[in-house]
Amino acid sequence: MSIQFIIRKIFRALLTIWIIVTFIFIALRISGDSALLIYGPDVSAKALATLRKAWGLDKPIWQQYLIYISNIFHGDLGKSYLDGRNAIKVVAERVPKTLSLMWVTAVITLLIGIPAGIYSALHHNTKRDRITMTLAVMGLSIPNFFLGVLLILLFSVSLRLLPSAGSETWKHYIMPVITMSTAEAAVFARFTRSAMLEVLNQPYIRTAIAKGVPWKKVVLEHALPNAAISIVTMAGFFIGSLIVGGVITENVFAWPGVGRLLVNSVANRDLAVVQTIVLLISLSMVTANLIVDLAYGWLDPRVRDLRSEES
Amino acid sequence: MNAKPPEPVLKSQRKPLLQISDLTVDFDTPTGWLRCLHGVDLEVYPGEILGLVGESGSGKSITCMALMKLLGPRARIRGNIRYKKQDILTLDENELTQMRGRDIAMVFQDPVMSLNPVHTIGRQIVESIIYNTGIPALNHTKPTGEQIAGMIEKHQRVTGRDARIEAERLMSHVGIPETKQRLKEYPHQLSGGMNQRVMIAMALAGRPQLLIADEPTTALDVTIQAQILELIRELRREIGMSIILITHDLSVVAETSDRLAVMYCGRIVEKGPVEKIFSNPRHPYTRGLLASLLRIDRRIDTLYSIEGSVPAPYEMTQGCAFEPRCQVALDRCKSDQPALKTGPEGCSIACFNPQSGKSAAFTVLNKQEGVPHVFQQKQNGQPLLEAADLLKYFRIRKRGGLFGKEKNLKAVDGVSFSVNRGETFGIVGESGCGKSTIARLLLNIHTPTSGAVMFNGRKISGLPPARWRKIRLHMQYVFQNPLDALDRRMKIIDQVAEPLLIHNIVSVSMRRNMAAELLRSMDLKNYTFDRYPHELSGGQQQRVVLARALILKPELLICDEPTSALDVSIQAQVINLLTRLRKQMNLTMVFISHDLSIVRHVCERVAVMYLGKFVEVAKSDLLFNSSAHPYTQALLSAIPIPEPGLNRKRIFLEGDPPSPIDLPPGCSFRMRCHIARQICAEDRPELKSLKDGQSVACHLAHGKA
Repeated sequence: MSIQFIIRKIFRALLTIWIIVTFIFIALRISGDSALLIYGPDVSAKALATLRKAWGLDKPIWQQYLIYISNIFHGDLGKSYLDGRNAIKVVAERVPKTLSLMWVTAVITLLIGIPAGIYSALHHNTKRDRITMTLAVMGLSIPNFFLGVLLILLFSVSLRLLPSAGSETWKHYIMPVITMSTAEAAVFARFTRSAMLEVLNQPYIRTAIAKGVPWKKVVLEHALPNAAISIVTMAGFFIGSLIVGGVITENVFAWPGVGRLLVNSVANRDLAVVQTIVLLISLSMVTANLIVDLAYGWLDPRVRDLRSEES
Repeated sequence: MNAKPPEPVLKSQRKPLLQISDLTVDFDTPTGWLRCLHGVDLEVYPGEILGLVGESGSGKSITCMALMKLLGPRARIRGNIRYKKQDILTLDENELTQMRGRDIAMVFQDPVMSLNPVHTIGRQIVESIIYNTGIPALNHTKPTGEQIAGMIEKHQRVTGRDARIEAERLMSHVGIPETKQRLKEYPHQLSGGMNQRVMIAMALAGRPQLLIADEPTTALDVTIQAQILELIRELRREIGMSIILITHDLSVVAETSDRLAVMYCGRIVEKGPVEKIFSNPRHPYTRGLLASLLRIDRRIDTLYSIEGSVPAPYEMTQGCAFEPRCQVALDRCKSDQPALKTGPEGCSIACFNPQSGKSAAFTVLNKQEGVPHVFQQKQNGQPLLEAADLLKYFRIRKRGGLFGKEKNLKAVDGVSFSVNRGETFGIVGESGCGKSTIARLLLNIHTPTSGAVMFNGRKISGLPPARWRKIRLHMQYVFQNPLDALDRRMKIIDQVAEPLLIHNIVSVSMRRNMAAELLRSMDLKNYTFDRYPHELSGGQQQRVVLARALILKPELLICDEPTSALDVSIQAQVINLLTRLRKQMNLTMVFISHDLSIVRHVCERVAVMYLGKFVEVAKSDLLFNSSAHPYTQALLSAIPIPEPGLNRKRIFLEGDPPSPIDLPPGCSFRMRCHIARQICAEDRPELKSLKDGQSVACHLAHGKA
């Protein structure tokens, strides 16, 4: 993979982030007068003017935009309207908790989803395949919030085995992770199955069998690396759904992460914090897609060559 | 070069290496078991090349996949496959893994698809070496699964480096240059011919005694096909292994094989020594196949063709499967199934009414052999179609620098020609030579980089779409794959009538009638009219495409490989239809093909194309009898001729054509040319006329003339 290609990809990622940042700016300006939003309708004109001046809202829109951009470069996304602290700091405090939940969920999801998909593909059209896929469809069709509440009712309320809120011990992880992984693992299982089935029908698999490679090795060394190319596509979406799932799950289990902060901030109209979280989410999405793109080149030599010709 | 190794021992006295008896294969389908092989008996003797011939759906590939047990879990295989002393069908999974690649190896049709795209060439060959050497082969001892696994593990550690050395040796054995570099490359970086050599190297790794080659040259160009077939012959000579060569091409069999087995609908219908069957074919199907062969060394007016098409397995009737298409069928053939009976001279045949001598079809054909083939040409001065100095460059970015350098891919590099009314102009060349780009330029799918296309004396290249629509009334085209060219969700008759609707030229009620009439004139039966494309056979589909192109009564028809996707017997039907229609409708045609035999048969004038340029243009007969360009000569000599034992001097082109992105100065053919001189490297030859309308782009041809 050529360096130009990586540079070009990074450049494109930066461009995407700039567009997102601009979009957030525009969205916030057209969503109404921030000063009014903060103080509510029953406030004197003088108070509003003071606030506008304090927040720089009285300047022309392009100046506001430039200030906004330069502030981002200085790591200043405004202060939380609630407690006046730097919004980035407010968000950053919550990041580790969210990350630890996402990390565990991702590992569990991949460890269950991908092997289940491979298992299903290898037993294509048999009872085992059908059972696995039926389970996957069931997992897929239970909504996160419903599964979360169900688990709390069962394990916390009735059986009193697991804590229903907080994040202190490993026991706290069990239910949120199950809640988030179930649907995700089901998606991965289905996707891995179809990717494997497609690859297993390719002529090169027949070649590998015909030259006397044992079946296990055919699956691991010939089929899987090729199926991985399409499975990696899923990884990009996976980050997105982890974030979305995280927001719901964190609220159901009172998990003190970014998702919970987001809901609270939206409820309290804490725009600076909301904006920071949105930016953080888009940054992680862009990074995830950048990694997926680079992974393609690493996994597929054809893409590698195609790209160096393009770039 | 064509000499076969001495085989004094009579076949009947030798023991076969492989003996297939009463092999049946059924597939598990949603509607029940579907039988695809109906009791195949076949044997392969040590050191022989057995040609297994049949059209698509005849079961030739299934037979060979069955004997490697590659058909997957949905196939039920019964019968007896005796390899040496062992029945392959009784082997367990471990023993099969042992047998594959080591006792029997296989080479497949599409070499690029048959190699794993994410592993290097080296890794794939080394893998074959590791799994297929060192451990005793079948029949010596019977190691258990764990033993095998252990030995493989041990072996792997010991010989990683040795395996790479062995891989390089195998690669140079099969004629791959620069082996060190190639080891690190991926399949998509090599040409089709090179990939096929890699496949063969991989197959040779375990020194198998039987090699199955499933259409090994079908996806390759003729000059590359000649290289690969020569390689296969050489390997047989050197290593003495037996080879089963599966092919649809009887000419390939004639040039390579010792014995021949013809399959039809999952049965062997005739088998025996190649010379015997070619000189005296007895089964009506074999006779039909041989008669419908196009030959590069002869020209006839109407090709023999077998009526109808191969039935699908679920359409099979009680009696002989060939009965509906057979001209000499008896009453018995409808109800009974003829068994394969051994006759004299090692020949076997499954037919109640075997023929001998020259059939009616043969005699008619032979009378017409060599008859010069004249079409009335209305010469009224102005050509219908002209291409003036057509140039088409594609911009390609190559690696290097931050933004890369743009380079030109010269797909068509200065081509001029004119086609007179009523004439058929052929363009032949190997894949990548730019012949299809010319078709696209003529049809305005691409805009030429420079140069112009004139139709009826008017410049038509670069016209806006609205004006093109009018021209398309007079200019229609037929492409290679009929199923892709048809709308799968539209009834046949509506598709044929659609051009009338688009151009709004006849009343609504007339449209269907016109379409029906045209379809009927193309021997399509009424019941097909309301069907969908996938319900028809390939030959029928291509006739529908042809009908759709002709319903507007165009003046010009452009055909790009119109028969390449069809079986031999069907190909003859379509070619005959084309020849008939062009006479009836006084069509002018541009006929693009890689197949010189077809071009010779269909065209009056032919241009040979190499890397974006015409290297020779001449009247068809002149081109095939006294070609002047060394590339034309090499192309002609690469085409197999269906006559066993024919010893002709052949020119083998070495290597692959260079990339059209970085063309060297001078003649672009000189690196593969067998007569190239100093001047060829310095100066690029232009197309100059010799005599009788023959022109050639070669310094040496002109020196000679």
